[in-house]
Amino acid sequence: MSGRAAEAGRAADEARRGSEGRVAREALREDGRLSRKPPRDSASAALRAGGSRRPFRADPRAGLALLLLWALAVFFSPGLWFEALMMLLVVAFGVAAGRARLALGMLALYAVAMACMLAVSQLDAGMLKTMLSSFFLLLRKVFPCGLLAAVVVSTTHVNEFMSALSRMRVPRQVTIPLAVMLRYVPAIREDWRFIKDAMRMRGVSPSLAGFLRRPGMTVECLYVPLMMGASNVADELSMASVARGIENPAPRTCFTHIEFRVADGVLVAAGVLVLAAAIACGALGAGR
Amino acid sequence: MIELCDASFSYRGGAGAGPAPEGVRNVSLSVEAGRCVLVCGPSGCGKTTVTRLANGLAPAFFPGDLSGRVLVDGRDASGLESWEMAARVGSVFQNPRTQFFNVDSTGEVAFALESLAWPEERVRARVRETIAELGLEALADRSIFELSGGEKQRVAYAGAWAARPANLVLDEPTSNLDEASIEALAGYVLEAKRRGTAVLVAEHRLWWLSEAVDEVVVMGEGRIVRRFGKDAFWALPAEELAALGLRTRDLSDVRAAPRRPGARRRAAAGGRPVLALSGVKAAYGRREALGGADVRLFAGEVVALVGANGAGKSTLCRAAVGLHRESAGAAALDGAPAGPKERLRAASMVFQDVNYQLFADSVEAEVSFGLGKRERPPAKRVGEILEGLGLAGLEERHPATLSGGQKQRLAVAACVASGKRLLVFDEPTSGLDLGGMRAVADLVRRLADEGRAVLVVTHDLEFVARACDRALLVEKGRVAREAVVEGDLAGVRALLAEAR
Repeated sequence: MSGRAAEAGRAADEARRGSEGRVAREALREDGRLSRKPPRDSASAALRAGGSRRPFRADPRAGLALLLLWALAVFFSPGLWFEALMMLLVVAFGVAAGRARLALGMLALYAVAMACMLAVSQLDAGMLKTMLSSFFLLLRKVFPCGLLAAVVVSTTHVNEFMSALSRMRVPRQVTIPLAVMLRYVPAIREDWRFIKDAMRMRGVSPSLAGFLRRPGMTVECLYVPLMMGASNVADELSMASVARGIENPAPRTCFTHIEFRVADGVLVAAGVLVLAAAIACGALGAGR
Repeated sequence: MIELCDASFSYRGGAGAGPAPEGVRNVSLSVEAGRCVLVCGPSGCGKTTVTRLANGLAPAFFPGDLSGRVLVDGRDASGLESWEMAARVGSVFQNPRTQFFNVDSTGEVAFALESLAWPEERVRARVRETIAELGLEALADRSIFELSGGEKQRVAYAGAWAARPANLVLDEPTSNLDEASIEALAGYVLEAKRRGTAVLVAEHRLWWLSEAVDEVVVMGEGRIVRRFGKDAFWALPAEELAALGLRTRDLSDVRAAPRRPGARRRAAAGGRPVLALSGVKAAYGRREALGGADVRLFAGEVVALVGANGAGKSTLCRAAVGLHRESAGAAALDGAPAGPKERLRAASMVFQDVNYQLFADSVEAEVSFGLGKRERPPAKRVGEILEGLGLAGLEERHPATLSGGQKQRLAVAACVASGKRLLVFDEPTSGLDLGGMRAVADLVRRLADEGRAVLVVTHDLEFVARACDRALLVEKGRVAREAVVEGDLAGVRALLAEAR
């Protein structure tokens, strides 16, 4: 069945890899264009006829619902202790979903930021204090949601996401742009490496110090090429997906099995509970 | 089967930032089942538009006016929805970076099948079968960000082939590929033909299709100018091919351009190199990417850098211009020891995707962008630089509205303005037609003749023959061998063969 095509494919592989199997793949990363993240495994597990030992994967619908509930809960949150609790819950979720490094790293950052916030609150009143405390208030609210979003996005494949939305009968006019966005976010990280190099060659430092010295120029250097790239990429991406039949109104299927399981129900119920608690505590004036 | 019957198409309005592309007029061609038709011609001749007509993207995705008829498997394309066309015609595009809708390779192979709403077991079975058939097991279940351009393009082909469409349309599929991947693609096309698929290819590079192609259609300014059967095309004299603006059909025909031996003699006489790296090592984390590389680049010479993916070419270039700090070894500019910072001031890179390095809001501002007040060249000098690079009259234009070649020259203008003495180009001729390739070769040559040293990462033999003095082979993080570009290029061919 395979014939010449397979032969040609494998020959090219061997040619590329040389004798040292993994070397080429590893060395590829050297190009500095490639993600250091290991490949995601849910698809492979599914393809290998359903591996049983794999990190918890939430149904994309559960992930989205949870995200919405979390955002509302943060809004109604009665105080720092509640948000810290939410943060811990997200960290647990992140670890279960196989994103332990991301979750724990963000937790550490959160702890540092909150320590700074408490230190700032000891300062005498003044411009600086007002500025800093509003900044930290923002961080305080953003972190729990940000981490949750990062975990959900990084564990959901674009095709799972689209298939799930299509089953919820979300119109394609909403699904397709959302999916393009989801697809584009990781590409930005790839772009950033090139832009950073280009900035340094033009004598603009792509570091925090450089930003403080010449904020306008640094920001311009970042968004001009990103925007230029983004509009091209979005056009070509849409074109390629139209040519692959994305506009078909029949409900999309997905080659990994997606299903709203009991665990997903529990997850959403937990989210509802947290939101209810936030509203209740706020109403009772707890945490004051 | 794809038929275009007296089809004309004009684009409506500009799509995005660039000017609206030219359409095509009165194009008639037919690709029967099991045959391969190659559409070629210089940039802007309309060959991409022909592919868009064939896969229905024009007018479904690119708005415009169509007259004449486009038939796919005997049905009028205007009566088919975009997804019905997608089920009949599989498409592969030029840029491997922007045709992946998924972030993992296997998901991408499944994408078209998911759009067709196949049940998931059937999708899984077909994906597995396709991956095996194309020999892509090693690329399955990988993040696309760790695949090379060639690997991505092979996965993209698998995505188009998964549904076993009766027709395939490939729009410049090899623009960004290395030779090994191009040969894999050639094998795929032969297999698809054998299975009765009608294949339409638009291409600049011709040699890889020598076995597969049945008919060659040459276009110019939106019209078909010549048609050849397979044998007639391969019998065409080389001069006539060049007159049609086409690249070589056979790499073994390529010969080195005659060149003044100035730079070579200077190098041989042991003059002081612009850049000398000796025993340079560099690593990413604990993994060594350069293991003691020696390079000497002289003023007035253009040096080609070849090597397999992952051999260390990129790291060598980044170390040369000072973007990557060496962990051991010595570097010198004009004989004086120079750290990464000094090199960064004296050297620059021109990327393959030059969009990443244009920052300003006008061509004129771009030239001196990033330079301090004292280093900034006076307006007169900026004008001279732009004029020298064929960019005069475009001073007020936004860089985003320039053509690809103009953007590349603008990036060069910025390097010239800041007095860079070493320029490194990364694959500057990918996706260029004969005229474009020659223009870049002449530009690079001139930059060197003005006293700079130029290093070019390339696998384009025609370009090496026209522009370069020497070629270096990078292997396992070292410069393993070098060859002089001369005569029938035997030395360079040997390096390129090893670089795979």
